[in-house]
Amino acid sequence: MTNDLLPFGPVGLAFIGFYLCSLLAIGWLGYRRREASTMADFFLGGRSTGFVVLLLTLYATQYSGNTLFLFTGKAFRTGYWWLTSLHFMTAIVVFYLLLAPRLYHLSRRHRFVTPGDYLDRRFASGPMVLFATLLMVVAICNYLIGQMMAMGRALEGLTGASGDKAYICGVVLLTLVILIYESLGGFRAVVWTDAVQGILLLVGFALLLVMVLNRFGTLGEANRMLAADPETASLVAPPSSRQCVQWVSYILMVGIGGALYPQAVQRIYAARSAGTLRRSLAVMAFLPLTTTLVVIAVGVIARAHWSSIGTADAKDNAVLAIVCRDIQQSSLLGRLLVVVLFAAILAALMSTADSVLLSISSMVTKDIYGRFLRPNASEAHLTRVGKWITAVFLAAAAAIAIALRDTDLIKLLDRKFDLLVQMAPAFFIGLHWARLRSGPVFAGMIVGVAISLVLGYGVEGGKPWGLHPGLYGLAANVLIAVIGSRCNPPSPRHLAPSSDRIGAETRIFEKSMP
Amino acid sequence: MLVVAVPWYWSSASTQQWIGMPVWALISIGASLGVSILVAWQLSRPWENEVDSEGRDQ
Repeated sequence: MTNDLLPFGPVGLAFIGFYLCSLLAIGWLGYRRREASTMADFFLGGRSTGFVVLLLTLYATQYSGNTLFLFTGKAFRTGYWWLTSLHFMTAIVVFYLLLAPRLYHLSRRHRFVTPGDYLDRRFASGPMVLFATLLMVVAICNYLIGQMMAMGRALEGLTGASGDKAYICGVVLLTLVILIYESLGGFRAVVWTDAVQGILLLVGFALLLVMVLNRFGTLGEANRMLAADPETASLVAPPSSRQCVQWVSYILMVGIGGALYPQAVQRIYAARSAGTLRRSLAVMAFLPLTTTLVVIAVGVIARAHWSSIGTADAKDNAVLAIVCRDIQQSSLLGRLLVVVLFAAILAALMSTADSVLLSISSMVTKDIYGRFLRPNASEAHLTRVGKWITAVFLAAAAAIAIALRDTDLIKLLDRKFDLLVQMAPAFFIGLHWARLRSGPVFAGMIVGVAISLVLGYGVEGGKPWGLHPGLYGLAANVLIAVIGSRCNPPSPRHLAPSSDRIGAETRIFEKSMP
Repeated sequence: MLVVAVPWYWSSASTQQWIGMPVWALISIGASLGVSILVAWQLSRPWENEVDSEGRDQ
């Protein structure tokens, strides 16, 4: 069974072309609406993002191409075990609750632009800010390259051109589109295009469900078929004890790591008001039920229909393509609906890639170039440098995505959350406990990363006793940060309100308390 | 809610279904909905310092 979609006709290609041109137009509008040549304006849109746009950008950024491709494939392969994805996507919003109220308040008070700004203000440790920034950049660089490879694969075979050519053209074309609208409009262009992409995604998920139910029958029928076959009965049965441990591991890892995505943290800074942020997050709490649950249903129904192809023939990211090809072949309406769904898939990939790219660019510009190389540079200079860094990173990511075309990046992507969760003590504990000190936090971070990488690459399967290696690293990280801080209380000098930077970690709490 | 959402208390051999869905899966989805409602309720109340933040923006 082939995994490629049928090539789109002129109408389908025109629709995709119109969608891509609309993104460029939005970039130009963002450029026209710029208010100043400042970092806050370029990287946070002047901190004026309203409810609808904030909700849609949070949604489009959080739900990437992985949600559509990999989640469908996972549900196909593991059945209802993948319900854990519903819980970990909800857990991200739960962990936001621990983060957003104080972080939003502090970001307004101290004009934060990057996650590094919070760390610098809270802990006043240059080496720690540098290490944490590099950690975040490395973690989400993998993610950016993964999205770009998925873009190339999405266009592969679509135009009828040979695989290599279509893949390279896909990566280059979509890279150029992102580069143009992001350089023109910065954060405004990114969140406005995210809004369009978020709407397309919502429509895409609804369409996907309707098409699959119409073509293959209800979820109840699929469940009965799976339960009746001894080979697939386990897909609808409750998970074993070991699998439940894996559920908890996923919920903690993705919940904590997803809330600490730098692009997610920056959306907290960019909200027009606390009320806007609260309302957007409240709606976000329900979106896993309309998205993750849909792709699980699609994966389960597809498995019931194609249980004969087994899991060996269907890689995780191929299942959705197989389903779409079948729908394309069923009718003319099916072909048209798949065009819209394909636009939604592109939207999922591009909205995540552009947000990640802007976040990388802001951290490299402000936290590395601006903090260590040119500390006295003007805002206008840093903004110009930021645009160049965006172009350089995007070009490098595209080149790597083309060079690694036949490589499986899943292992690298898995490490993303292992690294990101090591920031948890600095954010989750640091925001709520004034005695947390920079030295133990930095030491905990280094030890946590080391343990995660050693276990991740050194242990067969990468998950000792069913738990992600990042959780072992995080446990050691928290212990070092908390015990180290308790054994090393702030000295009177640190508490002096007039001290310049060292007392920041204490002052910040004195001011933020009601 | 996490305790209810993770189906550790079900036997792997359970085959109970209700309205065409495995009962354990329905309960797990229901727990997720419960978490979403709790989070939304929590977010319906103003945060501490919210007035201060809003005032600073004006």
